[in-house]
Amino acid sequence: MNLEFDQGLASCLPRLRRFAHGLSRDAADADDLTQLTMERALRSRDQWQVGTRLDSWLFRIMRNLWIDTARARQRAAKVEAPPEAGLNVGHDPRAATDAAIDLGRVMAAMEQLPGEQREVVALILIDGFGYREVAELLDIPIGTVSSRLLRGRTALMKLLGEE
Amino acid sequence: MTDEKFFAWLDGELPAQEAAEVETAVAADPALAAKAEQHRAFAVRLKGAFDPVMAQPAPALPSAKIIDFTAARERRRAWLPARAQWAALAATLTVGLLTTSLFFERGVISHRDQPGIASGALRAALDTQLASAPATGSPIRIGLTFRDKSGAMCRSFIQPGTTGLACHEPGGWHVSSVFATAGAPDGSSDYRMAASPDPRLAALIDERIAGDPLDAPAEDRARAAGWH
Repeated sequence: MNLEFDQGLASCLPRLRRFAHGLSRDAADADDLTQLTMERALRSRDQWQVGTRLDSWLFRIMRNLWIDTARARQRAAKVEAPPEAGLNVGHDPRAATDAAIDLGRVMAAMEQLPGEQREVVALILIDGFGYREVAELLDIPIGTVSSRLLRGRTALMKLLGEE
Repeated sequence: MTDEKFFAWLDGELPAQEAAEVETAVAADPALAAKAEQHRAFAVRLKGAFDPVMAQPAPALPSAKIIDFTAARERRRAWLPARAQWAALAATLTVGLLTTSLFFERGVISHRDQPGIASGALRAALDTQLASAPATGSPIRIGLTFRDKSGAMCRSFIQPGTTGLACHEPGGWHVSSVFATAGAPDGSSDYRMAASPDPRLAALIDERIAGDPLDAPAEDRARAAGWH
């Protein structure tokens, strides 16, 4: 089991980092989140049940840590000076080209989405999880996944000037 | 057709028959077809934006990260039949050399189910360098030398990008833990550890140490005795 766990963890690491980048406001936060997740996973390895999907288990850990961090940040924001006005995600004149969108712009746009939409977009559109898998991972009905995804992807497209 | 159904079709989430129905409807409606194409292309480009993240090697994470092989090794030893142990030891040595060189040459941050046996410059530093007299030109500094609770001689070390702990065993210096450090210290600064700059390494040493760390004369005598 240990070898299976370690190999699984190592092979999920790139995907976890990508998920972290989808959730976080910048690359430094994403790497912090990845590290926290790895630490938590290693400490909690006995709680992973052999035969269940390790990737879903790891993504769930990351998602929960992200929620905790976001809550702490919101609490802090209430007593600190308000951050600068939201990032201006303007229209991309290259919208019609096939070039990949710049990661920084995508992260800035993702950050404008409500968290519940952001996580669903990151899991389904970026990582490729299925609706049902995400419903189980987030413990919400599949219809909720579907409607959050719809709102999230539409808003994101607009934010990135692709509509 | 609802938007939910349209996107479920686009995402390949509909059962075959329903999917075929939507497919037909979309094909017959230029506006829907254009919308499908637009969203498909967007999904590809959105995902593509994250490709650089996937392509990067694991980063030197901003604060310490532990790689602890010891627990896994102990568990494996516990169930290995005695006669298989020599083979396991040989395999361990080979893999240990490989993983150690990976860790130290590339600063790879990953978790392996293999112990690392120090090799190359690290082994040389652990064998010969004294904390009290750092070797000039060596990127590796020795921190504390101490005997752990099992009686093995252990030494903490630091080099640009990583710090860790190695204990002397029959197979060589067994690197039990490696921590990535924030930013590589520049060669000119003195990053020798009086105690330890890394709280996790300090905690690990606290947990393992029996008595006090060796002072300079004792360290010199331990070296002369081959670290036994």
